[in-house]
Amino acid sequence: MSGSQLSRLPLEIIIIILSQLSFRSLLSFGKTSRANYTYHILCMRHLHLAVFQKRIHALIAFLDIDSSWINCQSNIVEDSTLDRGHQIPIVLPQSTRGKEVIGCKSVLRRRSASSESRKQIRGNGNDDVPRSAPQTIRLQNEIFAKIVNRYGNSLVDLEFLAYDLNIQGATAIASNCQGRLRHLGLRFEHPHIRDSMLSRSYWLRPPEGSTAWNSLIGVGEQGKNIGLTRLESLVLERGSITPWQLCMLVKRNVKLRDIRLRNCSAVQPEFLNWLGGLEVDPEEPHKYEEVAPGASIQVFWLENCDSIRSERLGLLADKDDEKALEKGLEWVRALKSLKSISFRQCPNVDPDLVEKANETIWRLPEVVLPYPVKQYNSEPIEVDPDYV
Amino acid sequence: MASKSQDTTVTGDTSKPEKKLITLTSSDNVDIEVEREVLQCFSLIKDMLDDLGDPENGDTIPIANVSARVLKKVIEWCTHHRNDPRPSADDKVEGRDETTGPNTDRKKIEISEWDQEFLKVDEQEMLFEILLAANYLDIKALLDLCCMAVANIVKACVTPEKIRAKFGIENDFTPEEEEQIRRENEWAEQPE
Repeated sequence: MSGSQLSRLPLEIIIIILSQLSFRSLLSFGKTSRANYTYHILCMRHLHLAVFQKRIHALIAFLDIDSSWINCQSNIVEDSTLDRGHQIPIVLPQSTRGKEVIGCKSVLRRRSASSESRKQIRGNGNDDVPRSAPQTIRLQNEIFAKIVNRYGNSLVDLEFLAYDLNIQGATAIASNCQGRLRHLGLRFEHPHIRDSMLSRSYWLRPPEGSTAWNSLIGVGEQGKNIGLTRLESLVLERGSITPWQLCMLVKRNVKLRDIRLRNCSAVQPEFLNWLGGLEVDPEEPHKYEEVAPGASIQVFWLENCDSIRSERLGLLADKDDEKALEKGLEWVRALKSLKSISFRQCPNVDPDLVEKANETIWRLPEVVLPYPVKQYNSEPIEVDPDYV
Repeated sequence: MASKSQDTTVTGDTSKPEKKLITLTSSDNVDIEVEREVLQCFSLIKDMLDDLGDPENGDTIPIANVSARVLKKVIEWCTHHRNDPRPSADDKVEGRDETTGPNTDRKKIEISEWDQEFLKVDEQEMLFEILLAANYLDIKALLDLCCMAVANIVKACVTPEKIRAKFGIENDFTPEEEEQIRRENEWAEQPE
């Protein structure tokens, strides 16, 4: 940049200018000279990456976030996860792209393709056939890691939308984004994406637990001297993180104020009770703390998690008995800074009970019920006699 | 030292004699009278006047880094925007956050028609001079405006070659480095 007009500007002003560029303009600017290459990396602070087989899949994944946000829009808390930053759809290399997608011509879609031949095709790893889910995950994480290795040091906000996280992706985050990352979103639930290599129930449950998450908390072989420590908000969708791994992640990130978990394996009584100070710290069983580990959390959303269970209000003998009301949800009381809690789509939580518990005990400004409270109506329901 | 020249053309509304005038001396030794009220936009000078009081009779305030031509443009902008609300303490301000680096999450500003006309300067050089002056004099709104104008020029260029040509940037990459960057960027350069 020597001799150019831009080179006379202080670095901070260059960064203000570059922060107003679109992603493509920023990349072009980075290709102009060595100094500008460094500057464009410094400016990449918000990156939301959707890595999928097709561009349309990536767009659907981004749209899903937008539409879920419209449904979940909070009046109480500012949504830190919605700083769009640069939303980049990335398409996996072309070798088999498209063949596995519904609506495209595929060997798998031919009537003659028996289930056995499908298995053979899935198994041989040949480039001419659709990728299996593990192959796709490996490629998604490979590309993601490459990008995070380049921009990780500058990122304050990172989201990864894909099928799952593996050790390569997790290590890239943990080793490159250690000091600066404030928001991390790992979204692996995309029910509107159709991929014939995935089973029908693929999006319904999180994958099996994995040691990949250990990297994020800086433990295990891969995790030495790395790990995230400065997160302020965390979004996990269909994350296979275990309760222990999530405990450690929350513990290490003392500034975490906003946790949004959707369809996550870690949402178990073990984690929730630890957060509410009802269970001893698994790492330091003899340490007694007056303040619950989750006392500073302001936003805590647990969605589509079937491991949280409450009583049914209608079955309680004494509906004003606080202990009975809170049974299974005792941990909420200890989250002293809480402003917003969500149990959206949690099938085993009774909305009537949550409503009652908030009125009498929690008194939180915002509570999202699992599903709408039943409107009891004494009038009979008309039924078409023909239908009967 | 070159002799001083007096310029009284750029002072905002001079029809009201009760308005107090302050004299600024540009880097090329030109005295320019400005209404004190207009100087409220110049955070650097406002703070100085608040701390030290107005200059005594005949004293001027030297603006060492800004030429008369640029200073007049800056005063023109500040005169037009003299009644705009000042940024509050809550507004995000530019600066280096000790943890996250320069704060670039600034509020988006809409460019008014008047500002668009103002930014239509003959030479790009002038835009950069105004930008540097706004930075030196700590006029945040003008700084934001100029940064946005420069960003718009970069956006309009599209290719690295055009950006280089527009800003006089020398390509110091070796062919090997260029090839490596091209490969690194493959993921981002897929057709839409």
